[in-house]
Amino acid sequence: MSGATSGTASLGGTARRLDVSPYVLLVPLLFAACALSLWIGRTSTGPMLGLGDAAIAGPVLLEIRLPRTLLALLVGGTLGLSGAALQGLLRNPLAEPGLLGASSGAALGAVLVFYFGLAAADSLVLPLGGVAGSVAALGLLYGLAGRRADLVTIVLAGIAINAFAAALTSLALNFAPSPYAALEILFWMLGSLADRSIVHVLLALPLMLPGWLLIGAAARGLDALTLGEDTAASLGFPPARTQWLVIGGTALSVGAAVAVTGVIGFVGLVVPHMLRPWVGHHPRKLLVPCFLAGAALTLFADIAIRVMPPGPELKLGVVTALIGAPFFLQLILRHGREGDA
Amino acid sequence: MTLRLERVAVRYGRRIAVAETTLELAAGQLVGLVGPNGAGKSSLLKAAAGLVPHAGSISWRSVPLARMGRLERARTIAYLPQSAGAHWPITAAELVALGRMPHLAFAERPGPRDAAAVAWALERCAATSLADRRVDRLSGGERARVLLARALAVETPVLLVDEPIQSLDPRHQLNIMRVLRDSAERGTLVVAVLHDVALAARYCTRIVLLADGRIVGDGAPESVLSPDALARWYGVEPYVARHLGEPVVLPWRQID
Repeated sequence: MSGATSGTASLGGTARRLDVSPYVLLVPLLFAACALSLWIGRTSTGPMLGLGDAAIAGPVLLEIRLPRTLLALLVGGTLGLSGAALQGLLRNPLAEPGLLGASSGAALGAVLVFYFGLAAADSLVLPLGGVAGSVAALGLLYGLAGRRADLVTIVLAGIAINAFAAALTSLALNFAPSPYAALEILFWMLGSLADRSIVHVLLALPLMLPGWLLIGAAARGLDALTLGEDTAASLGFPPARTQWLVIGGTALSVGAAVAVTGVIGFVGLVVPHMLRPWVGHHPRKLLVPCFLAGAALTLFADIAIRVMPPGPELKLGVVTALIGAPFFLQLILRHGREGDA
Repeated sequence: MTLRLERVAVRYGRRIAVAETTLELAAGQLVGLVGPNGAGKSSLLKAAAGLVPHAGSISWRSVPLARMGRLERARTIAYLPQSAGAHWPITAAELVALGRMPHLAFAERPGPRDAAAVAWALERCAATSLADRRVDRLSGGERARVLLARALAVETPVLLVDEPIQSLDPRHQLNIMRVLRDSAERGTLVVAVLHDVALAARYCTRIVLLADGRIVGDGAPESVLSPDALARWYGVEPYVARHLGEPVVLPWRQID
């Protein structure tokens, strides 16, 4: 265990402490992001500042900007929160919400809806398919790993579910009824907040809320796990309980997020990493700041998309991957250097 | 005030680690749980800590642990596993403060009572000067002291420790054993799994000798760790003496 200690510790970055509470920065940052997101829009001719004519200002704000801002907030917050919880649970700074198969399950569920051409019937069928896929993936995980399973089994089961979902998604693409359907599936999988309505918010929120609560209930258990599974259990926080709270919470909230926006990667990986030294490496203190920062990062990424020059709109998942991948690379390089030292 | 293990048995699949064992351990004792490798010492300790499924029942002051809540149980029995550590680079004081978790309600912040317990535990283990150091940068001896302080900070009437002195130099071994003995003298029931029979004989007030998952000796150190018992269960011949009124039991030679 001491080997794992030094390994994850050095990867977790330095224990540099800032005496300022993270909320002092994150709360104003999130407010600024929300304000900008409500103020900046996009039309076919490129970015649009303000709300336009008084006649359309109301509908623009309430029917376009507000749902998009709310969704970015909820989805980004969910990704940041669940990333922080999973990294605490697995005591591994490389853990990510996609790890357990909830997102790929949701993606598969949505893809199947496209494949059978049901998406056109009702805009709600698509997110419902995603939620069903996420819940099915969790059920499968539970079935494969069992009630008291150790984390290695759970991660392996997650990898298997991811691979299986990816294979079925490819199969659906392979047999797509038309090139147009294939393209539609691909675009959806890239992840986007464009053209979402308040209905999507209302659909995702009832699943996200209990998901967040489950993760919140695991908070102290995550702190206890810092000392290893046996010590956590002796402190009154059995690892199995913490584990299923986090996994259930992640599946519900991330599943709901993917179901309404498609796959948005790297937010759940990058955000806990940046904030961890700031909260003194306590998994519990990391949760709420990661929600706020995840929401802010997603909002800013989505704002960046809207201020791009005229042309086809960039997908949000593409932007977060473009930001996240170099970050990930830098993490590996730094880890390598510290390993040499 | 006793910890009573009644017909406790532990099995991993088909393998029986601990056969039906009944044991009564009183507050104020430092009990050395000794025996050759694979005797079931750690399994018995883990069962007492409620960490492995087991048959039989365990009760503290006649209250079965199974009937206690999670946190109540954690406030009764502290457990220090073998080769523990922290997975994140927190400071020693923060690590010790995690021992206060069973005393805090959801979202309750640690108060002066908790701060005092942490400071006291650090002091007992001569680790006060390490408080602000990162645990991943401590030496083995320093880390062992901080981890023991974490277990003491829970302030439980029962303390179970698994191999607290392995891979420590002689000075730190004596230091840790002294802290355990002090805790017992203050009224805590301390049960320690030990491989070092010399230190067990020197510091423990009672020795429970296990072999093949059964208790084969129980009583005062000198009587349990007799030359006959060491020959039979460990296959070694000891050098036995007394020094300043304390027993010396030194494994001397392997018996073929």
